[in-house]
Amino acid sequence: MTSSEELIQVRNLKKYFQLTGGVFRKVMGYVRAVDDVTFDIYRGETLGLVGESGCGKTTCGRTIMHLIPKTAGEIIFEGKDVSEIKGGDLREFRKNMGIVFQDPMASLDPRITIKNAVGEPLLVNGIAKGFRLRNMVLELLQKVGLSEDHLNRFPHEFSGGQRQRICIARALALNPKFIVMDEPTSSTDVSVQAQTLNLMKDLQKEFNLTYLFISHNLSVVKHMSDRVAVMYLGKIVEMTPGDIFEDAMHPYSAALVSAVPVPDPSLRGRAHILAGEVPSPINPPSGCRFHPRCRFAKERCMEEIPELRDMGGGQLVACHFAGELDLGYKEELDASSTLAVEA
Amino acid sequence: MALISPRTIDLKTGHAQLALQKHIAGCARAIRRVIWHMRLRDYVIRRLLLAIPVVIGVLAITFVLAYVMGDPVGIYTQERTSPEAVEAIRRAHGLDRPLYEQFFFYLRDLASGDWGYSVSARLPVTQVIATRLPATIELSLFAIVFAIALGIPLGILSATKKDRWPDHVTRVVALAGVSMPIFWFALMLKYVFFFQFYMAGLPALPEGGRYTFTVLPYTPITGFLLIDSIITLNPVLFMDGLVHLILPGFALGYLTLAIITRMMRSSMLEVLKEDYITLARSKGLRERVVIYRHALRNAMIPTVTVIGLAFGGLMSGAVLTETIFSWPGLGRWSTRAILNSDIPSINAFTLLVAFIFVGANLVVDLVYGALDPRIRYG
Amino acid sequence: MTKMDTKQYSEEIEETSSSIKYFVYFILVLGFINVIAGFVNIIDALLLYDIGTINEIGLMGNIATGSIAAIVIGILLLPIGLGVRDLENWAFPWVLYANLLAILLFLVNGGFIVYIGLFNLFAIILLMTPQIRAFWWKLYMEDMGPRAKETRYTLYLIRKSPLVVAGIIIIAVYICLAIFAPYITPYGPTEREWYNFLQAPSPQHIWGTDQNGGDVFSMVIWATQVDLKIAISVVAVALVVGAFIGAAAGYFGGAVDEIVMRITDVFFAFPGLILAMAIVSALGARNLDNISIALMLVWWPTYARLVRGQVLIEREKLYVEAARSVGASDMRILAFHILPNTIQPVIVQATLDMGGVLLTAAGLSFIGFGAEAGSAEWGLMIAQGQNHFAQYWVTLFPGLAILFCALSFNLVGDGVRDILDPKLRRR
Repeated sequence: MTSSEELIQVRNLKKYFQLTGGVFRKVMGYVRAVDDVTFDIYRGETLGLVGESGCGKTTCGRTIMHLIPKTAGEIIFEGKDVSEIKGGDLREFRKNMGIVFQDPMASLDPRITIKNAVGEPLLVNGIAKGFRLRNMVLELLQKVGLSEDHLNRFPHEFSGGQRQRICIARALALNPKFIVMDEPTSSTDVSVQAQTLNLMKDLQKEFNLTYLFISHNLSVVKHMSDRVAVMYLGKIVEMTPGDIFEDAMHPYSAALVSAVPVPDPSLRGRAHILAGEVPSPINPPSGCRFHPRCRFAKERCMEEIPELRDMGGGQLVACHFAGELDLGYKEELDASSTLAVEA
Repeated sequence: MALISPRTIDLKTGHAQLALQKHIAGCARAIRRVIWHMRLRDYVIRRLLLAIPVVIGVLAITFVLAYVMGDPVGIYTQERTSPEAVEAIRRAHGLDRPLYEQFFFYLRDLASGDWGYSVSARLPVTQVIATRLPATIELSLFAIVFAIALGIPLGILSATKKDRWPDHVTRVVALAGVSMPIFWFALMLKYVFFFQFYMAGLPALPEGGRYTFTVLPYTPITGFLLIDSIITLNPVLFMDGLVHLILPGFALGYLTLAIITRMMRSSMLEVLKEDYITLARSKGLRERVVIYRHALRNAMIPTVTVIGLAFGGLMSGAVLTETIFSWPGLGRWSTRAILNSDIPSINAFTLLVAFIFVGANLVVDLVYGALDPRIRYG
Repeated sequence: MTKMDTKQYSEEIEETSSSIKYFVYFILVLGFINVIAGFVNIIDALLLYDIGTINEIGLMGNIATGSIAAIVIGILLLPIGLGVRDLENWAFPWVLYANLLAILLFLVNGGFIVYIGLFNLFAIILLMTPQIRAFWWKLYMEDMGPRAKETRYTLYLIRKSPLVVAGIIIIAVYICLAIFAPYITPYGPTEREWYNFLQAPSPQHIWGTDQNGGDVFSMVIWATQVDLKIAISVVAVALVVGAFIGAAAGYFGGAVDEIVMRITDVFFAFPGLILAMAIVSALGARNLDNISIALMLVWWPTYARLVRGQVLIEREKLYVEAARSVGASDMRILAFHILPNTIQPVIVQATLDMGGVLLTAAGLSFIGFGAEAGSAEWGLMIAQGQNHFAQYWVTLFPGLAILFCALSFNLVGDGVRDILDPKLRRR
């Protein structure tokens, strides 16, 4: 499944947003949305990216797409450095990539029919016009399970799942190699979710696509991904080629895994509830960013930033004590480990 | 701030979560309160600073308009004046200097209180303003108080009785208010309540003026007739002044009344659709309490801005109303000045009105900022 | 829309691709003929003016229509004709539009150029022949289908709202009065029976006469022309200028935005009527043209602000980012995505402002800025009647005319705002 050829290599990617305030709106600080992130995406695989809301996963996806300018770092696409790409080259480069946004209603122009919305990539890149454009759009729509009847309708005439499929068709229009799925199912209900996810998997097989699948839902990520990267406060804390439910080695990943609801009542209450609030990315904690909420935190965690270490089998973990800790998320509830805050 | 959201990841279980949420919400509230005060101060300062370029721009526009209006030398010369003499006058008044220097002189003169001489009133402009401003303010205040006192209840009535006859009547009244030429409305009022009442032998309202000057003696102290009559303990003059205010005040206030009513209605309808109103109702509160305790406060916020903007309409309307009711205020003076090409007066009037308007909007914005925390984050 | 086989669409292109070439050559030649005819027409008009056959107005009209025709054809037909190989079906509707516009302009012009219009007519006939039509008609109809559906739905919503219908009818009546004033009115705009002044309404003068013996009924109707012209021209110019500046400010942001916004702030610091008063006095002559210019200067910031705000809202929307992600250029995003989505509130504002401009213009002319005394203009008529209390008809009828005109625009504006409201519109 996982071929060793890298499609995208992200090296030390940083994206800081300026925070302005005060009378003259001077720069008060930076939101470190993505802070020194390094990872590879292999051809034909799906890399899942999970984390809490606000941890920088969406920003990460958009920065790779060149939708927002990065602050620092390198993005290497098929062995070529595309970090500083601009103008016509950027347009040419974007033909290789597609993106599906979280909210399908908002990502479709309400005044443009589906034919023109899906056909826009083909039109602006000079691939097709007129009848040919229409036929190509129709083919795309048929691929995602829509028909000719849908061609000349406006977005508001569709259901949520259909809109999401239209967005997928648009992302596929330029025959890209790589698609960023930015929480594609978070705004649809569960029955539609499964359909959409399976459609994505089928399309991946058919077109040999590479996905970056961003979500906060661990079960969905597990279903979709070959490898999973866990993000916390702008940093990747763990990257595992296997099943994150089985192999989590970082305390944060373990806590995420344990928080997923399971239909087994005997396991109820085993979750390690994370204490406290996600710290502000404006002023992240020193050392390991997770240490204020980590129940295994030691002196060293507050001072030294942990690097991603290879724990064997391609599993990378950014924890000083990875492998030494008894994370215990698979066992029965340990009463002392649950940080239930009294009222 | 979005960053301090009280939500964490998939915390799906029981009381511990609730407690945690409470704790977090408490912390977040404390932080927000600090930010609120910080932001309010910053907002006030920023809003004041933003007013500076506006004031400079207003001065520049009035200067340019005055400059284009005509050569000020004309006032001092006659047909016989020799070209040399004209040149001498130009030099004496600095009119041969470059434009930016003249602008500087203009600012200096304004700052030192030398606003020019009003030919039409045969008085220095500042003196004219001092005598006429109180009359205009008195009229405008009467109009705006009338508009608010009637407009807000009408708006609430219209919103709460939506699509029933009180709503329809109110909407027609409001729509007529924004569509009616104010000067025509004033004339029609005068025609009915002065002329027709007078012809029918009914107690007619006065035709114009601030008081019956043929009968009553009045020496201005503050310039505000109603206040002066109270100070001098003169109930006859007070009543006379009040009666004289009714028609012009009503004519002037009707447009503002219409604007306030419409705004109040739409914002009230907007607020009544909100979830917290449904919640308040579902708690079993009486409708009166829901509307006056919960909805009104939030519905007032947009209405407050409209009142600030309506000030401009009042100033425009005052020009027309005062002309029709012979009200000895700024508006009447300005029309006379324009028809006599009295440039310093036109200029001073435009400038003064702009300052009043800018000031009113500044106050409204600050009130708005204090009322609605969202606005400060802009 | 009727279902069509995918194959049918593409095969037609292959079949007709040879016959289309000659048509395109014809369009190319036609484009050149039209442009040259436009310029010849200008020269012809200048010559006629020199020998005194036509006056300035005729000259200006000739030059305007001729040059617009030349420019329109130059922009629309020549590129289509020149791009023979690139010719695609989207271009054909534009050939149609360009030729129709050209014929219209030529007819208005009325010179020798009318005969050139026969070529354009021929082009339209060719365009409709089965061979050429197969090239574009189906796709055109399919593209127009959803738009027609939306338009029908909007019309349905309008029909459902009695107030909007009433407003539209009143506006239509006013426009008809303005156009057919010469045939409706018993007296001319400046016709006076000076011995019959201040007559009460009678069969002779159904709304009475004013202090100069002018027929109030006729003057009120004649004034429709004047006042509607002011309102329409002021709103149109302010809208175009304001929208252009506002879109630029919102789109470019940064320093441009900051400067434009500070300038509009300054304009907003003056109440409308008072700034207009000052501007008219600065312009010197007191006439209706200067009132229009002053009101345009007063009104453009409204639209600049509105359009800028809308552009700022729209450009943050996700669909703009989606369009950017597939490689759409900034100009395309602005023209095809952002502007169509900002236009609705602007239209509503323009309708409401028609009433506002009408009232302000009447107010200015009431104070004494309008046309010369005695001419037919609502505000001026009210001003001249204000001292004649016993003769209420002199003021009453012009005032009612303003009231209903402003009222109808407000009705339509309010109603259309509700109709276009996306929250209510979604089915």
